[in-house]
Amino acid sequence: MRTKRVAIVGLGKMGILHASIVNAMPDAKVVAVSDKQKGLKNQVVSMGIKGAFYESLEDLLARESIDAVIACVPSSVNVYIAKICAARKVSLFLEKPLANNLENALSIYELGKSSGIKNAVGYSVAHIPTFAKAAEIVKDGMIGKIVSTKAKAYLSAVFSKQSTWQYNKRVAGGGCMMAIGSHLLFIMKMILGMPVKVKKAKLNYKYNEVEDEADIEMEYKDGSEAKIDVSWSIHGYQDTLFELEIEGTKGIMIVNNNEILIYSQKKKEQKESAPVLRVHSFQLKENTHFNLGGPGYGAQDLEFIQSLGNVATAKSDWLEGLNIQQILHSIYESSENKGPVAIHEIIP
Amino acid sequence: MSVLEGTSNISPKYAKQFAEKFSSDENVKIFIGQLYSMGFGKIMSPYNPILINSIKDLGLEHKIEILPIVPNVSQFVRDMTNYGAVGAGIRRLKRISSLPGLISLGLTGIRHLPQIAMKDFKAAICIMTHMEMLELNKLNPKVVFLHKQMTDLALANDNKEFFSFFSSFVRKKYNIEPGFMTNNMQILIKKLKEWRINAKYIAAPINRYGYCMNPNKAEIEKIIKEGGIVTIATDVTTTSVPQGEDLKYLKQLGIDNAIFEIGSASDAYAFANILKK
Repeated sequence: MRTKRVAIVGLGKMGILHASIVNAMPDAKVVAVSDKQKGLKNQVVSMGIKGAFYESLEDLLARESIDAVIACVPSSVNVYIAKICAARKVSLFLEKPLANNLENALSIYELGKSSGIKNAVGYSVAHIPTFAKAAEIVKDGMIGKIVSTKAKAYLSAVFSKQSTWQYNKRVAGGGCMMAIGSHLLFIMKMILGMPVKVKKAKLNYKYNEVEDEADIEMEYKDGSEAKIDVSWSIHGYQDTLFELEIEGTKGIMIVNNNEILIYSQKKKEQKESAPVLRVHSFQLKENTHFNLGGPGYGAQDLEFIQSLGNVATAKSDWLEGLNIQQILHSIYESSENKGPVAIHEIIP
Repeated sequence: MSVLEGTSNISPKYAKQFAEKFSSDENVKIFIGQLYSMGFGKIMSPYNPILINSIKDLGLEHKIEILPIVPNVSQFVRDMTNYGAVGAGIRRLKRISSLPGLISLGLTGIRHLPQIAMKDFKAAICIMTHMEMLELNKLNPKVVFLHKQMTDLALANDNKEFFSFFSSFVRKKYNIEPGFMTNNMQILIKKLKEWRINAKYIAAPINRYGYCMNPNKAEIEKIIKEGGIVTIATDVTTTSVPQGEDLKYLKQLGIDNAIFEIGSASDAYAFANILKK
């Protein structure tokens, strides 16, 4: 099998992670890298990431033969990267979220559709084994019909005003919802399906111009409701916690990064009794060639690279990314208008 | 001892408990004292000034064996996200409390850390390691482990020079052995052999589930049985108190060393009883 030639755009923390995961693959290699900061060239070479360095993606693609680009840049830049790659028919993986706003996300999706390039967006949570297993359990009806869900995404990261691009509304599109809330929405869509309405959204701007906390209520087609709590300004969470507590007619399921707990009793007070089933992440296999960066990353990159040249598509392709962007857009709109907003799923 | 950092691979409930409990210096000191009194005399931990001070305050410097993990990546990555690579380096420097420590680094090194970090990854890691070892070395460690994120980053990129440099640095600077934490044991051992790098201390997930034992459990078991390395098992159990089955699995492989996330005196006591059996 021919070695896939991959380029990395953006040499921050995520770019270095993706480059390393690709370099660990037997059938792929990073052959070129790009970043506006010329000074990063020596740093990545000293890390062992050896590829031709370019300050622009246009130059890179003009001079190198590339099968796929992995872009780890501010989300407002994603649409420009997508235009360049679509024009040259180069497959593209964009770090999440798909874009900084719905308009750009739609443009990216249309570019993918019209060019036919393989595409993916970096919702690595799609590959965290506990969430995939939880989706199976719900689908199999073990907890019955869904009644309600409580979901949370917590991280102890922001406790003062910040100045990098992640906290700039125009560039990032938003704060904790874009950064960690979007991952939670992806997990929720995987397990519960697409919501149909944001009933209420309250965003809290504690330190920055982007939201630091979010309190959201959503509704689903089957009539069930979800309450979502997101914060990157909460103590006690050195690693990001994603957790869902799903109440069904036959039982309650709690799922997070590490474990799935199923309780047979329906009543909340009885949830403290021992679960009837506990599945730990150690018991679930992740389909990856190399463990780096945490669960999901290796499997995500492997899936994308393996999809090149065949009919397979990524679990988190641009259509999925667009639908998550739809939900995010509705949340921000509901927060501004202080009222409910309908969510429309994009179906090809 | 990720418990002191407020993280856990067992469950988020424990992670939160650890984060709350060990935010108090006094709680850390009490806990270390309790562990020692139950016969637990080895602690594997990233650089943690509260832990170091607790061990010293309890007069246990020569009684508790510390297995340092360097550098403390979690904090650096958090700082890098918020302050950029240069800002993260500066914040790390500010945490060095002792003047002799700063002098040991060399004022040139301090001034140039950001530039060094930008140009030479291995030098930056060694400077960060040295910043932490200034205090950790006072506890007389015999082995110092490279953090798994750094090991695996270098391994993924086939960075022989980095492994060679780090091993040599640790031996020359501290006269102790280098160890490597990894989530990719099979690949690491294969590469160390290929590169003829003499490093026999490896800390990696070894458990009866096969979690993080790529490509599969059988291959990892074969490597362990071949011998020649000192394996320290991590991620051994899915429960707060390791079960007899977990320990039986390690024993079958001839593994004498393992790291457990113990975050309370009651769990430590229960574990001590299981070990006695």
